[in-house]
Amino acid sequence: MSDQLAEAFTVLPQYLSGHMRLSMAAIICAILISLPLGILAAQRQWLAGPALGVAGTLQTIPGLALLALMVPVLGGTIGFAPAFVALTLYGILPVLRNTIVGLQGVDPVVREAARGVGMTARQSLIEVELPLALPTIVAGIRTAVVWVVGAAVLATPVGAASLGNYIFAGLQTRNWTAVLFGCVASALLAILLDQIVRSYEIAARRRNRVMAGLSTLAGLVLIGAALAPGLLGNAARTSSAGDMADAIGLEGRVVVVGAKPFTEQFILAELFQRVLEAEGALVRRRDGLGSTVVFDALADSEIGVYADYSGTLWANVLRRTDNPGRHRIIAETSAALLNDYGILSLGSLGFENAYGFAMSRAGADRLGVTSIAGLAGEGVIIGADSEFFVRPEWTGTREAYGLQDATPRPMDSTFMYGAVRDGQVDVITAYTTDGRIAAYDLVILDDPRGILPPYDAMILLSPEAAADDAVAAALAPLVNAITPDLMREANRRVDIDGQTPEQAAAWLWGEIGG
Amino acid sequence: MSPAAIAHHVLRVEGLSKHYPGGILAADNVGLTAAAGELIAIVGESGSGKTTTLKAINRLIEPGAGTILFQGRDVMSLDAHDLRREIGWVMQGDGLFPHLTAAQNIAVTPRLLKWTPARIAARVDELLELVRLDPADFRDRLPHLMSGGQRQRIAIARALAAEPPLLLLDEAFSALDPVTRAGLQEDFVALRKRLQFAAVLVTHDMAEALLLANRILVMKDGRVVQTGTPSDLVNRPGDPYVTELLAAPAKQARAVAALEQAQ
Repeated sequence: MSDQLAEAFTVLPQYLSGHMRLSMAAIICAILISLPLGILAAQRQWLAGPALGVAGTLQTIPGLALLALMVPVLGGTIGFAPAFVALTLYGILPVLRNTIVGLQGVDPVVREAARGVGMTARQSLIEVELPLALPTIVAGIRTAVVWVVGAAVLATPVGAASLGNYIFAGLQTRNWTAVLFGCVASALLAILLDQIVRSYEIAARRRNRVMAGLSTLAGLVLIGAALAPGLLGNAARTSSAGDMADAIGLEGRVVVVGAKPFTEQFILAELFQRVLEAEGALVRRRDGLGSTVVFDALADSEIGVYADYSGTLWANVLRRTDNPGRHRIIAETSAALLNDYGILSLGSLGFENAYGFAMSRAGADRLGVTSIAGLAGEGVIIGADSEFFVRPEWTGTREAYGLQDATPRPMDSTFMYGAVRDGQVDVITAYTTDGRIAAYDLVILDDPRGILPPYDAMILLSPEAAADDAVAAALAPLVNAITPDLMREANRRVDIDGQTPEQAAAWLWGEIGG
Repeated sequence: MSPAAIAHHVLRVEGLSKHYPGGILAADNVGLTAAAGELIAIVGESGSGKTTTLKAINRLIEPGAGTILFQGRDVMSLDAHDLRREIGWVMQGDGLFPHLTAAQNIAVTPRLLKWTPARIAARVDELLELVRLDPADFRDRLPHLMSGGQRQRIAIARALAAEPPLLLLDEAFSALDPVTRAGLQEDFVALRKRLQFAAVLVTHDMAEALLLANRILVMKDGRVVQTGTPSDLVNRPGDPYVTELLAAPAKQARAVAALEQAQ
């Protein structure tokens, strides 16, 4: 437990500075857009309605979806840009709404008095209306601060480092210390920023220069703290590149390693990092990327390497629903990726991580089933990751084995193993390399009609990374090196024993002769 | 009229008319003059056009037809903001800026006119004394920490701050309780005698007009029904409406007199 806490603290500067840079840039940008717009709209009803309507509609889009949508909107860019744009849009509404409401709420008598004493419209706005609307506007800014800092944890799936990295990775690797750590850290940050804005408002209202100065100082210290680790980090990386002078092939080259949000992917990313760093590469990590986000990012060379599964690519990228067999699928997928996207497949890592219909041994015995066919007409509840139920293999399985009366229950994959063990669901679509299958004594049902496609883990290189043979050469020793048992054991060490992905990857690397 | 006679008037309004969208004629051929030291009261009910007439003078409402001469200059030839800084304005309620202290409220127009800070500070204290409020006590008070009468005194001080030759008052005393109102009216008469500014006062209260004004315009439905001194109106009301307006204060006065005699 204290190991996990120590681990959490080592990456805190990186995640915290990423989180602060992202949310502060978004808040400042949201204010710069919505304050002038609100001032314009407060005097023009034809503008106020549509402006509030658009901002309000953006607000109703769930945060995660808004962030994910920004990736295709920005032409496949991942990382800071889509997260920044989405969070800015998110922060606009409260500031815009409160600016309009605050200005429109100024007593018309006071506004007429300003004209009557000879103020121009501009003087009236700056000297009378804005000061009177200030408490309302600041309340809007404070709302935006809390929303944006909170929503910034959702930047992780689009590839921007944030405190969400703790939460998403922790959720998948069953590291509740990390999840809690991420939540508390982002809550503390939100409260801190909120209080700085609040003290600034009080200072402005009381015209207290000392207090305003202190608030400005606190703000500047925070901005400095947000930027410093990034700069220090870059410097550190550059110097470590110098130490690698004896390495061959990749020294000084930056390679970005991606990972989808589950344990096996985190371990494989650690493994790729090890291998590449051994050749002198500077490795950056983009962990916890969404399934389609990660593929698009590879196609656009936003990331250089990640592992994906033949069955996933077969269905999602090639849009195929047939099952011509394991080796043909690998061959055809590799050819199509190279042809259509310039993505180079180095081949299988040596293990398959397929979907397998799994039950608890007691549950299987009670129904007397050993194959999926036995589930027909039993009205079972099936737990699966949300992706599964929109994949062709679910439709295929349902039709082939007569599972029309089964109830799908989508959930986060990390929870489904415990759910089937405890009988909360009858069947789950387990990942066949997951260590919890053995640990929880689950039974994988046969698929006699071969509906579930094979899911060989493949090493994929972006067009840019593929252009340099050194990257492929560095990763080549991993091809066909990991047996299903080794991968299952590595996953088990994280999911059951509470090791970090880095520790599991180190063990795996030792096992395969690194 | 000779040029000298025109220059003698601080304010001269001729043939003022104002249409509002929808064809409402708020002011119809209104004329009035005010010389230095003179107070003109415009009396009428709401909708009579009295406030429209008043606000046309400092162009808070743009006049339609007619001519308004301020110190011999056509107000339409002047910048509206400059014009308003030269004319004092006291509005219904007090219209003080709630986020500014008494001193800051009074200093608004001098500041817009770019007076030096020293001159402004001296003027603020002078005005507080003129409206009979202790500068040391009131200078740094925010409006919500003052009584209604005190706020209205600050409003009058603010209007007089830049030494305007003309003061416009829109129901300036109406929101006050009778005792406070009487005290403020009395002080206002003394202030006018001393500073000799011209003033136009809009009120629905005929008694107030009789008490304060040198001349009274009675307005109804956008037209001037009768113009005259208070004594002209009382002794020779030229219209049944004027008689009606005079009836209420006369009745009150008779009732009070009767009670006094009965003692």
